[in-house]
Amino acid sequence: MSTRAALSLEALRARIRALERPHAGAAAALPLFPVVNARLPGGGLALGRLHQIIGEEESVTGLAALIARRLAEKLGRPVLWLPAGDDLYPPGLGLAPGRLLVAQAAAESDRLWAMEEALHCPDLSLVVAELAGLDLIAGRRLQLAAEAGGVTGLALHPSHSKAANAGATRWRVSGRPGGRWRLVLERCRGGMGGEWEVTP
Amino acid sequence: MKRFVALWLPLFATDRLTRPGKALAEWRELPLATIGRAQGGLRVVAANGPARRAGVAAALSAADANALCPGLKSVEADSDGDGLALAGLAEWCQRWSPWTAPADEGDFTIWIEVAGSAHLFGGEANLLEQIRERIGGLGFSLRLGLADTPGAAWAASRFGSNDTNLLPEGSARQLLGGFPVAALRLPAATIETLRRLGLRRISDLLALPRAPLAARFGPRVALRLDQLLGRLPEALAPQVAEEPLLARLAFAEPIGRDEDLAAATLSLLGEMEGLLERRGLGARRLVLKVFRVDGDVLAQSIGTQRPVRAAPHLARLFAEGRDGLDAGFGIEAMSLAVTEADPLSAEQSDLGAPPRGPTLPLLLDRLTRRLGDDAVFRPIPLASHWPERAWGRAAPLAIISGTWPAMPRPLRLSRPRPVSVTAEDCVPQFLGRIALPEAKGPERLAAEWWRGEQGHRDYWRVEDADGRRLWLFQDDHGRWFAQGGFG
Repeated sequence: MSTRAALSLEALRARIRALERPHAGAAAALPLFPVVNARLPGGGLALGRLHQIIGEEESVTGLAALIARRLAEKLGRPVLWLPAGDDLYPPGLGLAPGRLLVAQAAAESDRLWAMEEALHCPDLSLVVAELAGLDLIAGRRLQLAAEAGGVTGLALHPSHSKAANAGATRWRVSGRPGGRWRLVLERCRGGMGGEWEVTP
Repeated sequence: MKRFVALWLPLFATDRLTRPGKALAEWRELPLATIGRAQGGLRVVAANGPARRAGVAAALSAADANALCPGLKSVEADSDGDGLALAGLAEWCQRWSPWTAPADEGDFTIWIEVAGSAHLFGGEANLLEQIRERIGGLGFSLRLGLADTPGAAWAASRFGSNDTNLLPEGSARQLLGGFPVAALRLPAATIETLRRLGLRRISDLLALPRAPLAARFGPRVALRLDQLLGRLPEALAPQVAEEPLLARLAFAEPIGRDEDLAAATLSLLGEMEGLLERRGLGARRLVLKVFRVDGDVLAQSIGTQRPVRAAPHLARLFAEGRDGLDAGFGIEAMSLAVTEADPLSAEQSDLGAPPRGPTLPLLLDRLTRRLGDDAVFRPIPLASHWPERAWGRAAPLAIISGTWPAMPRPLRLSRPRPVSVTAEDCVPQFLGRIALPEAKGPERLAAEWWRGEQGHRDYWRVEDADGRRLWLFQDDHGRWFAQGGFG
């Protein structure tokens, strides 16, 4: 393949990316773990996108809290959490008081609605919603909302969830001895999957 | 100059039970009385028209009333219910003026201040006619007085020669002079005393020197005279404050479709936006009322995190609630009142249309509106020893201080759940049959003696071979509990 052909192919890819994500441009990313970042386009978790995390409640909450801490710190804006139950324990999330807002909704449809509305609000750094499932249409709406508002969204699913692949990435996380996590990147748009053991 | 309508509902206590659509509607044309305990027995408190025609009157004993009127239906008198219903009707009367006030207990009068609004209804005479038609249409007997003071209007409604009595401005002294002294809203004993002294008409009292009048009959007679003639203002408790932030809309034909309601709401909000802007205010709490053709008034209330004027945002808040307004057989008027407002400058007010998306206060308004006032909050640290009480809820935009406990805390916390733990030297080794290779602790938390509690808890962070991490504690009786999980 000639250099000229390679260049035009790269230009074409850029054009397709631009068409797919009209407001995106070169999206910023939040580095996660050194071993993982290399595998992610942009070198981290793409901001202004929807991401999914699947697994046992505690592990999923732990990874979401870690992302929330770093993102709230980086952007200086609060995190909105939409818990499904009433056992979320704010003192354990590691977010400074004042950096966390909670909106409780028993109905999943209300949490979906609230997440979509909140992703449009650029005063937030992150919206975390605990969702039993997610279909492709709802996922697409959330993705569009995240891109429009530039706010990152995390959908947390239980380990047996049949949630569709609706986000930019989809992670499966589980606890490992020694306070470690097993992290599986099950899907990564524009990148490759992978599996790692990391220390939070 | 103010102008007051006194709307007297002489049979209110029974009319409110028998008017169309109410439980006792079939007794409208049949004798009905309310009975209460008074003077050592059951006595009639109020009687409707058919019962009165049969001779049943207030204070008659229940037995006598039944003897006079064999078919009489008796119901228990409910003065609290009367008062609430009268207040409700006074609110309904806000269609004619933002200022309405029900009279004190036992006096079925509603005052409406109409100086500023009579022209909206084609002048005072037309306004009285409309009130007579509408209130009568709801099934109430009524008499009306319109005068310069609440006292004069009251007197005109009771003792005027017609059902509708309009006293032109400044005519009270002249026209009311011939009224009996009972028109002064005096206690029955005072009226009797005046009568015995030959003072039967208001003009008789006006002719007397004031000092002896007050000395002989107490301050009340002079006070009522002054109030009647407007020499002293009368403090009444209106349903809404004076000069309210209020917008109203009346419909030529009743409306009922959701789209029409939404359009009317937006129109009221647009008017309110102007009112607020002129005063440099933004709304914090608004109440939307709909006046239905059947006489019911329904209200919807919304709150905001920050002062807001933008009509589209407020319209969305009204629309997104779960307490939709039931139009019933139709809505003939609507009102919008701002009950709480804060200063909002012109520069701040473009909050409503930011370039990229809604600002946080606007988002929180909508979340709160849909999910409920208590559902949206900012968690705050509380000074408590027990973990389950270590946080509380503050308003979402509250400025808060404090820090979370420095020791590791779980991500999820449940009620303490009894578990079977095998410990060695107090260090947990097994949870049931699951080995716990990792156990960090103990962190001792003491009971809050000021709450009347005793004992302590020793908390451990444990981990099993699969990497599950739990928060366990042992209380001072040696019992083990699981209370949370770490990530």
